[in-house]
Amino acid sequence: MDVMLQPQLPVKEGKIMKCKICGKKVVRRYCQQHGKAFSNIVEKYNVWKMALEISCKEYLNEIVNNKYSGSWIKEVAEKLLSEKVDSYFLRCL
Amino acid sequence: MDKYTLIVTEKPEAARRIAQALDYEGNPKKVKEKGVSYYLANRDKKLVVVPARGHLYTVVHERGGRNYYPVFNFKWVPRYLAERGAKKIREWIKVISKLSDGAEEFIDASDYDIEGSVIGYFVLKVACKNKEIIAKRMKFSTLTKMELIKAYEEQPSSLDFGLIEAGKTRHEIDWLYGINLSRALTLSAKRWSGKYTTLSTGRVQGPTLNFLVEREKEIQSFVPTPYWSIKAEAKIMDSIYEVEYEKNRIEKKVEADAIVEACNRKTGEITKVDMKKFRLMPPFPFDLGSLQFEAYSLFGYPPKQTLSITQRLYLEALISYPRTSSQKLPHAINYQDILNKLSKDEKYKNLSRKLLKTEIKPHEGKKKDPAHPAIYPTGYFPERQLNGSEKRIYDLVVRRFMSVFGDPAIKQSVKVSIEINDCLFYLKGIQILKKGWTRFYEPYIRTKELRVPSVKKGEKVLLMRMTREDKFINPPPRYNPISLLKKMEKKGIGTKATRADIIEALYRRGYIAKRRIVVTNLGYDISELLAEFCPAMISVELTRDLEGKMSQIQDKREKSERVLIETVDRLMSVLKKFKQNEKTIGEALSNAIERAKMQERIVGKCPYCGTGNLMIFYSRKTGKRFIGCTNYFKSLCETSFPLPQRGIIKKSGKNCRACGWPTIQIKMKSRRQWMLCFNPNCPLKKEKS
Repeated sequence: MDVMLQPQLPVKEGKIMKCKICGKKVVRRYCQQHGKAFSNIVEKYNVWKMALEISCKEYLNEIVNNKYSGSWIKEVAEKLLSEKVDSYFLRCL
Repeated sequence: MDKYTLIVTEKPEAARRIAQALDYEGNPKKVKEKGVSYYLANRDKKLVVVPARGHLYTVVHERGGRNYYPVFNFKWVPRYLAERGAKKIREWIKVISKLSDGAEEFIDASDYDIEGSVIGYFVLKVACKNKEIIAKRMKFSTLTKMELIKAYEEQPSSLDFGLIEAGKTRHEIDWLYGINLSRALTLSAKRWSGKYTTLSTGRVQGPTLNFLVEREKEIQSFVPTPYWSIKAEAKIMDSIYEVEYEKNRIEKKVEADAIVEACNRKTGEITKVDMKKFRLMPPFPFDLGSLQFEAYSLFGYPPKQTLSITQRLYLEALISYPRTSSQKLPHAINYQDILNKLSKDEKYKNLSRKLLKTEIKPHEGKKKDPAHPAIYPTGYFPERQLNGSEKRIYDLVVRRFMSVFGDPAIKQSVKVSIEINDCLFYLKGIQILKKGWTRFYEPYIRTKELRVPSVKKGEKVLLMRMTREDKFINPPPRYNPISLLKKMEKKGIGTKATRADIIEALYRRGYIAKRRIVVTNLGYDISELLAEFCPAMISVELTRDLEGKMSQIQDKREKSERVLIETVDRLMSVLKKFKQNEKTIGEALSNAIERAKMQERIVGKCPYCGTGNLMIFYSRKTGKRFIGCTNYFKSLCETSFPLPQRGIIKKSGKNCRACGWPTIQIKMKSRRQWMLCFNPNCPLKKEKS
């Protein structure tokens, strides 16, 4: 499930794809750890939306600043914010 | 000297106690030869009591160098041939060997468990030249005079060869796993980077590290979700009590706000008063795991510390043998006698007398141990002043022992329901009606009484100061040494005697850090590599299966050779796959080691630029070390500080109490280590000058 939720990137032949965040081997767009974090972020957005009626960007800001967020979660959320919340992420929601 | 009986013990203190107990006059002659003390005692015949020094023999690679794997040929040798720091063992074995020449009878009086049996077996077989066949076995659970005499006089049995075989096999299997996997890791990293760093893993270490890594993954990929709770104060008979809303978690903020709006400063009505009486049964007697758990939660002692304290108390004959998994206290230990002895201590006088007035029966748990009962006090007084931690553990053991004979405690819970505007709030309380066993365990009882006023249905209550509390669901908790030990116990990996050591080894290797355990990058990478290339090595099933086989060997239902052959086969296939991927593994490990080393050199944040890290650097020009800011390379910060050029420097992880700067720890040969604040303007330095 987690891996399937990750955004797919075109694989360039002969070139090893690296995770955009840590540079490790990618499964799709992120490495296994950050891929799992991405899936969790997507999965929990609905709970946040229902609880606080917040937008996607506000949600990402909340989890970046929350002391209970895991470090991989913060890294992925920061990346998504820096990318101005890419369209794939929005589609996943 | 005439022919005598040679008694072999596991440790010097045990030899002294046994000799003292068996000597008719209680005054054995102490002889010191080449640094080894042994005792001459007189009983029905002449006795010589000589101690071992823990394991005198160990498993080593039979022949060959250190730079290859797999290795499957091993042999047992004296420890001085295998370990650099074990030179004394040579003389020790010589003394035992010499004493064995004049002996006609042999008794193994080492601790009656798997390790003790292996220790005694090798001393009798090798140092005493094949005397294991004729040797007898003394079995005891305490080092008290009475029990030792009984163990000696009740015709001692022959050695327990099932236990010995299981112990030997365990050592051999652990050696096979440890040496091969550790060499595979170390050599693959060395072959890639050309640098040597000791890396290790093992049959139990791998799965244990994997528990931690799995938890780390859960924590690092955890998204907290918000929820709200409501607390209020209720005014009842001029006193204020805390009440809580019926739902612990409210999932929408608007809903929580609506409840506060509807109920704050409103008067409600008591709709129900529920009272329930319940019995709280006494606790079970301590086995090692539960004692370690209690000592950690009450005093913060890590499992290894508790084990070493209990070991000392056992050697002083104050408590029974601590390496037990039993929760049973057999009648044979003589409860009355122990309580009588305890009643002579002012501290336990009243409590033990209270118990002695009634018919006593322990409340026991299910866990059994064929060799030893649960941990209990002997009732004897210490011969020396115990230190603080020893006193605490001793008191805990005594009080737990008394508690298991107590009556159940009776408590009453009260729940008052208050309704306001269709919202329900609860006022909860708990009251002790009969103390029962808790009076014996009083200092260590953590739940407190919370009294609720006597109220009736229909009474009015004013709710005031109602607040909405913003909360988040927390990530799963980190393991601490004791919860990890419990997990290992639950999963059936390791033994009661080895679990604490395995956890210590993970800390020592730098795979984990801190009390609330954090897996380091190195630990994480090693576990991930094992999961990818040799998943069997982190599998709980494999190690649990081996533990089962070990029990079968002990009961003589399985042959040691067969288990060893199975192990070699399994390792062969694992190591073959490892070799095929050695390059990839070596690269990943080398990177992880490099990262870990870099991390070790970072001492804290730069107090000047605030963004860079202060790091220990070595000057290429002079070779001298100093502290500098990592932002120097970006031309952003030029902060640097000199460092002492001698001794080992490590980051301390603590900040200076005066200026708040990060500090470092310096260790020099034959000097106590000290902390250094490298801030030249630190107020502490000014004070000193």
